[in-house]
Amino acid sequence: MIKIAFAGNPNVGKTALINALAGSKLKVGNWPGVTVEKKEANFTLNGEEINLVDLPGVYSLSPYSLEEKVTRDYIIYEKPDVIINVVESTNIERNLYLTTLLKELGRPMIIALNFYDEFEKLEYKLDIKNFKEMVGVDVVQTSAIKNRGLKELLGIALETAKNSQKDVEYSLGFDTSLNKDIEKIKEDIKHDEKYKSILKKYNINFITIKILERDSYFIEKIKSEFNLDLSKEFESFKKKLEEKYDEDIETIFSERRHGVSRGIVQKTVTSSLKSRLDFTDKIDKVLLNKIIGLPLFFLAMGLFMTMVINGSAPLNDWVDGFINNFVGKYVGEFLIGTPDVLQSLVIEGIIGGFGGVVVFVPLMLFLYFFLGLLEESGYMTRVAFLMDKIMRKMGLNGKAFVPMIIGFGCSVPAIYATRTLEDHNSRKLTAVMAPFMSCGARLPVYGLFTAAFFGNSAGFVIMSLYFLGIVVAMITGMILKRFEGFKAEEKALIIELPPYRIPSLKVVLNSTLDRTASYIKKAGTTILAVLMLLWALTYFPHKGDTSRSYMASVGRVIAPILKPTGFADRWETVAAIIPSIAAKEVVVGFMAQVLKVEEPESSEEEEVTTFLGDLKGQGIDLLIAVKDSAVGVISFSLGDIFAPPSVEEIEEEGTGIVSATSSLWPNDPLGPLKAYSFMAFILLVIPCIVTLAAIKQEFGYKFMGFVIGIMLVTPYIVSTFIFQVGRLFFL
Amino acid sequence: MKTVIVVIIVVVIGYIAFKSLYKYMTGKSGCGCSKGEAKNCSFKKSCGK
Repeated sequence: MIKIAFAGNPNVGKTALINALAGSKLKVGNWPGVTVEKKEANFTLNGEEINLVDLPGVYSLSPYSLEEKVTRDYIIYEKPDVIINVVESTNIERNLYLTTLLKELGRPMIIALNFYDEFEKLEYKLDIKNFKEMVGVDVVQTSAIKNRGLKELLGIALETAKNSQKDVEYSLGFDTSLNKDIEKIKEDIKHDEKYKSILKKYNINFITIKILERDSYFIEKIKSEFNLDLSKEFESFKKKLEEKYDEDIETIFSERRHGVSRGIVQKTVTSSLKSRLDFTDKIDKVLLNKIIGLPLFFLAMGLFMTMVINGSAPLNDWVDGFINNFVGKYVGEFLIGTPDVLQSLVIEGIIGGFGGVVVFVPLMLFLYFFLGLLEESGYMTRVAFLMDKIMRKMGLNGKAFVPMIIGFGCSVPAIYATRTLEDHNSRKLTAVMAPFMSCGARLPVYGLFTAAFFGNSAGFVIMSLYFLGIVVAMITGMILKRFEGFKAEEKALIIELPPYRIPSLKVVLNSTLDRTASYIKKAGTTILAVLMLLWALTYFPHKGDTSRSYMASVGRVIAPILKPTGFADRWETVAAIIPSIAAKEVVVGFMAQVLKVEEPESSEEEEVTTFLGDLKGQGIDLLIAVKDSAVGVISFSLGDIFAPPSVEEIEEEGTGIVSATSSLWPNDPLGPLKAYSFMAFILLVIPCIVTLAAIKQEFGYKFMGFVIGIMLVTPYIVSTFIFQVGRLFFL
Repeated sequence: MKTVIVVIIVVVIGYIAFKSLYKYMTGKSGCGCSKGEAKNCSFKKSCGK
């Protein structure tokens, strides 16, 4: 197997290159830090298995941050056959600093000059022949989005991998005097017996520089691996160099590396008067404006939610009708004659439960599509910048908001994204706050309850829940920062704002379909299993009388504790909280199982239809739903900004889950308030089990227990507050 | 006969669903712990345990 590692600065398109080469679907995004741990993609070419490794984006290879350690350790200890150093063409000088560091590690390497199409668009010129000579490795101009240079890149990478299996001793390009000094030490090391085994594992350039730099991580490693203390090695030589250059040793090397990068660019790149940041600067003047920046963000979120809700509602409704009126009907007919318990399991347990979750597939499609557009555009990082002032109140800086933005999609990567923060206390504080962000799995719950209780205000209510998550996270942060274990180091915000890019439709669609497919797969496997268990607990012991079932008993036992929250007068809502810890979507499936639609009594005889007739009817309904969906996305006026189709409209066509849910509190003026209190509880209660596993993995069992405690107390307080204060307005 | 067919279908669906639930609960889902796939797994330490 050939191992190819992709290394480079953050946000230079490493993951996009891998996806383009391997046809994989690793997560990409236009912000630094999408990849916080190494990811892999495999494929076979001409019978040869190829393993592409996506390393976290780094600016340097110091031992001070987690992702730099991951990248450095992988290259040193896993020894990839070749490194593809991805360099952003429009920002070569800064990117080449890492190139010089990678060369010190001594693995065979080639450079991919990515975003080369943008480089040409700016009318920049590169003397490629000279550039190759100066960097000392092969160079390929690429564009992952435009599929440019990919074949050539892979071809050269494979050739390099096959031809040179050993480490390479690159010329580091430092000035002659420093080179001479280093060569002297290298000679000493090569001829010293004690270095023999170290040289088998580490490159000579790397050993020399790290000893001189007194790299703590390297010195500790050598001590533990070879029982050798190198902390005072070449001390007089180090001092001599520091005196000669009048700088500390780390700065000497760092400045030389920058010098090498600058020199290469000066001699090979001709830039035009155009700047890659012209367009970005113009937009940022508005979007990052001190006064209107944040309101614009909330306005954008409002529009975003309105489009998601308006666009998906007709399609959700169609899926609902399809499952109940078509699949349910014909499966029900097929099951006639089988035992009641089996009929209930299939119709209510499997089709009802799975169908209840699948109804919201269009909602997820729209959410992921618009989220993908935001991620690809480069706006996400700006939000971190805008939030900097607010985050400072928690002792954090805006960078800590990045994991929280990621949490809008899913809490699991949000927990891993805390790795980009420098100190442990900041990481811990952010990891407590991130699960309060409203992840995609909670959206079907909002979709159901807002459609059932809020009609035209659904979009506004959902946005308020997203906002509530942010506010609760902030308040939690402000309280926790007073405790010793969460006191973060005050640091200025240093964050790279990527240039705005027109999102690639291909990338956005791929990510949308991939995430939606995961949702459907999860609904049909993990969630279905939980729902089958729940069906058993609601069917027995009274053969389908859910109000006397085991689940109802559990709900009624807990209900008195939750009474102040308002929603606990129905055992169904209380009982739904426990399985929601497995996965939030379970709430929707559970409601579909236990709540029944009251069929209106009809005096007329039922119309007799055929299978083909029904199928045709469903086809026509789908076309109408697609048309309504398209109209829903584009047709809203500012006066009618949060106006999804009304409940009446939805129920005209749909018969299932929304009507059933509205029967929780029929004709109750406090019904919407109880529904809101319930949604807030689901938003803030213990996250799903995979998020807990991620917290345990990153911070240990004790901390996971702490997060569980916080996320049990907080929803209780918030929901009680919402209901008790809210009801004052109804008295 | 119809009952037998439905029971078989339900058992197959149940097997797939519960197997997936087991993997999910033990942190092995989403990445695959089978040969070769485990490398991609965030929770690879728990694979095979």
